[in-house]
Amino acid sequence: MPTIVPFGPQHPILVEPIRYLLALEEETVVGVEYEIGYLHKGLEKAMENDYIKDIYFAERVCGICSMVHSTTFVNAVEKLAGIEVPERVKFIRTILLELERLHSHMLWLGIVADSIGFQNLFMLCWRDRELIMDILESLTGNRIHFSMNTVGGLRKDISEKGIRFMLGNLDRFALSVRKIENSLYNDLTVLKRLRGVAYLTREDCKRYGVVGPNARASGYSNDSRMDGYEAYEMIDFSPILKAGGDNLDRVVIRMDEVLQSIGLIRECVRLLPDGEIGEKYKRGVEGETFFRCEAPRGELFYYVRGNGSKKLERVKIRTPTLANLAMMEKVMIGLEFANVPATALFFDPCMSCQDR
Amino acid sequence: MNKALARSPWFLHYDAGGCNGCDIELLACLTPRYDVERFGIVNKGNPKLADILLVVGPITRKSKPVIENLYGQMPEPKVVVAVGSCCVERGIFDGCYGVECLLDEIIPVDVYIPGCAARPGTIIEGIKKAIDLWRAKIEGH
Repeated sequence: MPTIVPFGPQHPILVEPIRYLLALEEETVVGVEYEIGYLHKGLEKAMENDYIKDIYFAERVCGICSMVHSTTFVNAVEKLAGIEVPERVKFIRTILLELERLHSHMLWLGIVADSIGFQNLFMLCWRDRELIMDILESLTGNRIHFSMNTVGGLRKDISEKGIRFMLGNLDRFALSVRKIENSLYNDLTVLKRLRGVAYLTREDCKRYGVVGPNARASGYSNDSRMDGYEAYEMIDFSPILKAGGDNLDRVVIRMDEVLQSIGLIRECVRLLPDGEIGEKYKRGVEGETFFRCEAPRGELFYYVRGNGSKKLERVKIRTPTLANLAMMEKVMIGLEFANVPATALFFDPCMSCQDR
Repeated sequence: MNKALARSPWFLHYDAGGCNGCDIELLACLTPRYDVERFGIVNKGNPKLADILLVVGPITRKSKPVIENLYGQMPEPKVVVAVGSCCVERGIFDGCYGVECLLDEIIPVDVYIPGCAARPGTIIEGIKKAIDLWRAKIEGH
């Protein structure tokens, strides 16, 4: 007769609410159920609105990856309205998307380090993450919701001074990431805690529809950036893959992606063309379409339907975090109870994306 | 008795329906750049030991009983802080069907921190006010 142990909705390790019910045989998990929806506000319903106003809603689906939400939504509307944005807009959006990936991955590493009891690393990651937040603030004026995107372009341009500041800060950030990597990969306790835990094969990833870095850590390549939206078709990009499929590889792949993103930003700055940043569009959209982008957590999907007016009929959001939740029962069963909180965080949950 | 109570206040953080933006700003406040722990405050996830409750976001249907439960578990004297525009007055989520009520409609709120997302400087000021209020409540307890 297994013991049922509740985990959440409020738990010291969880930043946001989710409820797991774990069935335990002694210390081993034999069954898991989860309950979501604590943050369900009904944003998809609220987005049946003027598409310019919807950009604000799209940004506020998630506070960590607000840029990728607004970019995906704006791209879907532009696809419907038949608008081609200038090249400079594409590059600036790509720079901001990659900056967002940097700060999201550092945030994630800090939180999981805290969850395995390595609080020093949590502080270091978040200290260095402030370098990226400074860049974002100097480029866009905000720390969380950037409000840069609009249909047909950007709300404001980025300056030469801002770019110089960004490159300087990125150099400092790359140095700190190397230092963090060094201390992380040479720490015996961390390696013992992570290696071989929560193993997931490539077939499991396919079967459960795992997306993003979690799938790529198991060798399953599904990076939407290969579609070549925004400036990704004009820069040299190929996704990083790892074969291990355990918690250690989930750390390694994100650290590698951080370094890759720094390279991508530098390349975008080198290729950044001059020109317009687009015009404001206000016209009706008709028909239905979808668009997908690679958020820091995986594939983000927006479906948009319009009826010829400025008001949209339906917006459907498929977030990577909800897609990643399905394999929790696969991964949790057989784990030791002590590894459960850390593993719940290793798949990079973001409950506000997931519940909307 | 008062002397025994006047230790470092511990705080409890709960996301009742926000977009995660204020949550990460709150966490950023704990880290070296802003370091709110210099005021002697520690983030502990245990409601039974917490003195200050920080709530983020509008109260959704499922969050309402959780918030009431957490508030009920906290010992007196306690201080409640509402973080972010959507927690103070619904903000952008006004009219969404999942948003049940505001925080001050279910429990008494002492400090309001506006902003979408609330900036770390504002959060630190709010937390400082909450600590002072908590100390004043102990004096009168």
